[in-house]
Amino acid sequence: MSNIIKIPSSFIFGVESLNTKSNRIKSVSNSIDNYTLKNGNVTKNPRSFRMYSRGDKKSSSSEYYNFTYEGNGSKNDVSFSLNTGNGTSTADHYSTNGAPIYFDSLLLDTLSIDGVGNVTNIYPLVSLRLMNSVGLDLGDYDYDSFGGQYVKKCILKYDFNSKKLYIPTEGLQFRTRQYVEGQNYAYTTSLSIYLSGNYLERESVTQILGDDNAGITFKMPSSSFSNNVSTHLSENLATYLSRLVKESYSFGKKVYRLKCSLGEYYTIDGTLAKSIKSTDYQAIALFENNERVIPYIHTVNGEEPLSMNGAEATVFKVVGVDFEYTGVPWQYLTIQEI
Amino acid sequence: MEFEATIILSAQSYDEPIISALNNIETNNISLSLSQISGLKDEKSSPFLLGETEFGYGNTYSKDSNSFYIADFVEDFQINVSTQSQYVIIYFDTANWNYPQSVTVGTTQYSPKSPALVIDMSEFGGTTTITMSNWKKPLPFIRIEGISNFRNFEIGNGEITNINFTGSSRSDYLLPSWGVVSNSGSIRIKDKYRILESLQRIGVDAAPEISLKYLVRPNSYTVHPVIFGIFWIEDFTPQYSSDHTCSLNFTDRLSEWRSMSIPSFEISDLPETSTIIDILSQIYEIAYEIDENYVGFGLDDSLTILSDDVTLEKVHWEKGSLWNVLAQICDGLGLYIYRTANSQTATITTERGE
Repeated sequence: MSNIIKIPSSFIFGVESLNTKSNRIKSVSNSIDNYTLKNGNVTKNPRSFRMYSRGDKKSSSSEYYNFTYEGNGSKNDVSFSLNTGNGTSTADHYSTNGAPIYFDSLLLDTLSIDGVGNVTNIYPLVSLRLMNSVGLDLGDYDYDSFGGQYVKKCILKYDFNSKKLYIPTEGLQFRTRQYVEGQNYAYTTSLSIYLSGNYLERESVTQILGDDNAGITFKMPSSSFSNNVSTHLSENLATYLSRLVKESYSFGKKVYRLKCSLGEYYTIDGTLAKSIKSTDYQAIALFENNERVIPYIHTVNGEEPLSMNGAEATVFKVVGVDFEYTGVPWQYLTIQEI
Repeated sequence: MEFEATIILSAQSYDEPIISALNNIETNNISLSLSQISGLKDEKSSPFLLGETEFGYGNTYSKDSNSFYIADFVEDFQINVSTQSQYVIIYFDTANWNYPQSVTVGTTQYSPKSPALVIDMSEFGGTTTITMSNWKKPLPFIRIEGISNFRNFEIGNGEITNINFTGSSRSDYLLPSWGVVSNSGSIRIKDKYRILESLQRIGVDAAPEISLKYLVRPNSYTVHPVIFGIFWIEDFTPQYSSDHTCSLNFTDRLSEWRSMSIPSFEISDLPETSTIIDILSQIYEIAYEIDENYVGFGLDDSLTILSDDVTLEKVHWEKGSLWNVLAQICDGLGLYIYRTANSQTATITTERGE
């Protein structure tokens, strides 16, 4: 993974940016201020989020929940805990087994933390707007102490008959990991919320498992879910979650398509990586998907990286390798920033 | 940069000369029996060694003339072929467009329509006599431009006019796109004898694989053919152009999953430690039981990490194609599956962590 191959400008015979203004709102933000959600809301301070409860989709001091930011730099962890807005929640709020909560909208964001615990980016994580009954089943407890707050992993459950999404425990926990060059994947962000029992309505929750139409029940995958408002929840959960991300993908990454020759490619460390005449004839000159590359282009200042991320050259991942031979071989690389 | 391709028609290997004898010398007026010719170097070799095989009045089979003449023409021209060969091609006279309109192999009758005849020898046992008669043009001589045999059909650099393929790892480069991606491409080759059409006509493996190679030359004395892609000719239907070139379309074979039916399946009461990898492994095994030659899939390292977070309680799916089953799981878990050009298996991976 650390083998980053340099694509010299002399090997590149065409560069096309696949991004347009509309599909690429923002790639990297070094500030967590003034973050614009896809739905148009502007969050001046993304450390504070709102979740609207049913019956009050707009802000109301009595019915929105405030997420507070609690960082733990030593662990590279960040947790968001949901408070009721009128003080610190206690475990007593969550001890009502079977009590559901209904809500119309859930907006979550997560932060990206660098190696020393500084917040570097903010990524939209997930936003669910569940117009129909969504039960938050305060089930059995399995608390972890986390940043002074009680949080718990939960499992989303989906009733394929009623098209209802259930959150059967008292909270959600999303975790994402960020790849750090030269290191293994490491936890960089942990987002947890839990809901206060003060506003719960008691109502029985349908048991959803056991019917033949059930698909897969799983813990929420911690992919880069984005902000989205869905007015219907009328499809398979897997499809729903997939669509949710696709439709709300506002953090487009830089994507380029390059026309390259087959030549002698070296890593940025100077090691021969790909060759058309190497004695190591397995080092074929065609790129493969998932390889890391830094393309260079000619500029008035000489050869420079195609794209910069701050002071560093943007590292791209090869996501497509098209090949063409009509007497002369060409490889067309589609590359996406990491 | 040179390229080669091989259409893989037979998995068998062999190491002996194929056409072992052309023994009716008198009938054919050939002065040297092929049984005296040994050392066929590879499956592309002609049974007629250039410059050594003598015909008629001492003419030798020469690549320069690319033909040999059989003087004192007799109606029937016969050769014997051992059945070690999978396929035998007899190239007839393209200059005069002369070819036998009747060819008998064993008891099977062929009626060539073009100046090349491809015979599947695997249908015959022992040594088989091929008799060619009823020549289209009763010239005072007949000319056979060559006889070759092969298990796999080799396409040299000079015969390749065009190769292209896509190697996408996802269906959308700009938006998150999960699921299975199948790639495809095509190759165009010169085939004035319409060998591929003949292969199709005699019913070779309806969906052979094709391996694409390019030649690495570390120095002027060494050549290494390097396979950079093995693909599947799902529909072996050569398309010819007026310039005698022929196009073949191929895919990475993942499309095969669309027609591979997986029975309904349910796992309840999964152990707490069950992960997506456990489920994928089970799917792999189910598919393997259905077809042990199917294109399997491997797990990317990042999937192992994902597995830490995704714990399954219950899995259920209805009967459906392997493609759809995997696509559903991919959608749910943010995975995507693709196959790189030179890999025999597909990769399941995730973008998490990047």
